Amino acid sequence: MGRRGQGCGFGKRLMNAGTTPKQVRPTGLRDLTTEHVVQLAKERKTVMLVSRGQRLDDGSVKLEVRPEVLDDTDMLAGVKGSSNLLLLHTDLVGTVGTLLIDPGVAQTAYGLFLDLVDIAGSL
Amino acid sequence: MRLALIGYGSVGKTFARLLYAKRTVFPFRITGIHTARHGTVYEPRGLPIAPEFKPSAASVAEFLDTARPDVMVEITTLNPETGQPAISHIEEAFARGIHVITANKGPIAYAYSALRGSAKRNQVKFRFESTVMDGAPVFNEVRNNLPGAEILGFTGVLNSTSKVVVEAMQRGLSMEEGVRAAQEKGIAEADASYDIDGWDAAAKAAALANG
Repeated sequence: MGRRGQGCGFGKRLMNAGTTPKQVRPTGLRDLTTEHVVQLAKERKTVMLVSRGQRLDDGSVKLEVRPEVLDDTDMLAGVKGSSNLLLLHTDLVGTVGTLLIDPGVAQTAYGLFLDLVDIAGSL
Repeated sequence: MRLALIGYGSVGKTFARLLYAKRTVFPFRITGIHTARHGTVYEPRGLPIAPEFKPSAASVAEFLDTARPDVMVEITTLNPETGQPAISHIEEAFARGIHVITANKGPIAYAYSALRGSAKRNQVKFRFESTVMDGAPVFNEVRNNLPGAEILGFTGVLNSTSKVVVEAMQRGLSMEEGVRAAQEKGIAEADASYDIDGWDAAAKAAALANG
């Protein structure tokens, strides 16, 4: 996965990695026990399945999906239930976040609409 | 602008209602819908939200050749192992010069480079905003609102089922009981292993990295 595609500004892409989920080789929650989770809660910590991507110096992109123990005060730990949070780390504006509270089919349908309007506006 | 939908479950119907609600400002028309379960329907003047389906077209190719849309909206069920049949549906549309929107993360996770190349060769657009954050703008944000900025990396909590399961376990419940709680909320599929084993989050991470 070489350095590609952020370049010219127009038609700009997110990371242009050319990878697949199998190459991510995620670690899931199977080994988690209730006793461990309850003990962590007593210590004001929680476990979350966190996804991380990082562009390395050689231009490739490293991806990780694994459970992480987080303090309750961690921003990620505050994302409850079906809500989702994505933080994009950039060179010019630091970290930019998108938080979606309790998404459902209405939000998925809106994403289609957003793309449709984007295409119509670009023709 | 004429739209053809492949798949018409809850997302498709909600999308159709949204288009109807916004029709005076955004004059898009759904002129064809093709599903494996209900059949196929065409109407060049625009379909109602609850159309009367006829027997299924023999293939997606036949459906597209009859519907002749400007944009195909691919919203079939995800096959997490391969990304098919959505990848083939998208290729059929590109080959006919039809723009494609999908909410299906499989094609982005498994075949994005090839699909992007195909879209470019056929001079059509390919969009997939709903694949990672359920419609909150991520790809559009980067494309349209972060000029000059390079994405160095990302951090996300992108899988809902895993959070609901851990929250149940914090209350002393088992993982299986947590999975049932997620299923009762309508978040988890009948087979929640795709979420619990991290594949949903991996597919979204791959989609972000590829996009």
